[in-house]
Amino acid sequence: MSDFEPKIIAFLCTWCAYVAADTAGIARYKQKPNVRVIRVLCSGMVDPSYVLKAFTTGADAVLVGGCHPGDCHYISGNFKAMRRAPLLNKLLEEMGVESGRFRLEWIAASDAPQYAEIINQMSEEVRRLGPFSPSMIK
Amino acid sequence: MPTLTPEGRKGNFREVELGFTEEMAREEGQRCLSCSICCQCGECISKCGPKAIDLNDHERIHELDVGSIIVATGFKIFDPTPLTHYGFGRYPEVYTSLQFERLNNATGPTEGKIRTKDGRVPEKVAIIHCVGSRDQSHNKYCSRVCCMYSMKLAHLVKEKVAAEVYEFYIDIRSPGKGYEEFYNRLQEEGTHFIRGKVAEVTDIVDDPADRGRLTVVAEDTLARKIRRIPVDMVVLSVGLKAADGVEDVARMVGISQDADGWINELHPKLGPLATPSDGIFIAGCCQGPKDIPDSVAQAQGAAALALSLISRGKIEIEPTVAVVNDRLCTGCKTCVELCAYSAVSFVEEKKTAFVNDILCKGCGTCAAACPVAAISVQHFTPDQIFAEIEGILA
Repeated sequence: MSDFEPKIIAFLCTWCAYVAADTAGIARYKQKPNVRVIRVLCSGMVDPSYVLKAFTTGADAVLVGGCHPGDCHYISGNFKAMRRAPLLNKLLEEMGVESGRFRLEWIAASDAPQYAEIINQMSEEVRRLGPFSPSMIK
Repeated sequence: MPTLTPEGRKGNFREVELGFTEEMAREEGQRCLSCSICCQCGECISKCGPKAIDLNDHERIHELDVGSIIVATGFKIFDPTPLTHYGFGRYPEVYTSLQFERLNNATGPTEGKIRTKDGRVPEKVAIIHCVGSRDQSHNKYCSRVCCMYSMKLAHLVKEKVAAEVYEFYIDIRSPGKGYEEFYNRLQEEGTHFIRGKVAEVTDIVDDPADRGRLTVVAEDTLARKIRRIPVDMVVLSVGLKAADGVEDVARMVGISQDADGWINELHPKLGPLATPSDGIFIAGCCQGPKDIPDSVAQAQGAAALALSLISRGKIEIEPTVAVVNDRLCTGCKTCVELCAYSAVSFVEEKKTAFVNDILCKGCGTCAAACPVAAISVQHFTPDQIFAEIEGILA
């Protein structure tokens, strides 16, 4: 258990969270190396099936990063993501995925320190939850 | 009009109404001229040489087909009434900067003479900076133009009535060509700059000789003492706010605003005039507080951008747009409602959705919401995303 390194898939909006992740790296904020990023055009384009696919393929957690409400590059895509998240959470819960394994976060392009903090927090939480295996899906 | 006393009317047929003296007639005429309600007598039409007056003109609404739009809805000034400690609306000698500007204007009510409301020449004038700006309870941002216009007003007051001018500031922000020099010039002219936020404007004076004046109370943070300065006039350098109704305009043309109501530009450095909606440009204070040179520069830039679209005659679009697979689409219209750009329409003949790739920005909201996965965004298709997931988890 001690050498468990969680694998977190992060779907990051190219306009905000992706930029924040980039900036966090350039600004050399300390962050856990457990995140693998998939760039998407908008948090609103993250189909729930992408999240499920990540869990069934062996991800230990999934993060969706979008622009703050009202700041969406595509006017209202993040609101769609916001409305979808509780339903997806419910579904994941029923499938046996603990709630800490899926997170939707608002990360503006200027929120590099916040991004690093979210990554570190999430890594620690998932480390505590332990590895996730697709066989755990009910 | 003077009238005969009731006693004087007894036993004679003299006129009761005695008529105006010349002085009284002038005064009465003045009252009529400045009552400012037009009675539509039409006298002005005959007097106007270039025949510029049309009393029967009315509002007309023009509908135009255009290829690009420049949003330049400007700003409104901060209303200082909620800042009751400054006494605006309570003391007649407290003015907003715009009111004071009007008083200064050659076509204003005093023909440009700076006078108090009871006609006195002011001897001391206080100018309070950052009213409604850099204030945690109102607008957190700096309105950017107030320092410079406050100093301009101070200069005009000095020039016109040679009054003592006290500027109460938090920080003097004078970046720009020739601006810092102007600040230095004002210091040399003897304008008093007091660094400290004004606590209150009150009509309680310390010295009975100052009765009728207002006292400005502030902490002088450089001299480290409380200053109570009696003045004749107080000018509030009010900040800038996003204009009323700009949210309707923004919604209409499909652009967004930030938390303070200013319109979001495409990119703060690389796209300051463009917006996420193609063909929509912004100029001036609708994007954020700025002064006249900056507004002019932005306006000319926005005009050039709009013209470059027109002269080229064609536009480039991103390849990342949504496409509908007609064979899968069930015609449920979920996507039609969701599209923020109204790019998805429903084709009645085929009973399927159709994406207009000129309007589509490729946000993928429709693709994620499609219950039968009939829509996908090019270069971000589910298969591509799945392959990415498999790749990075392998």
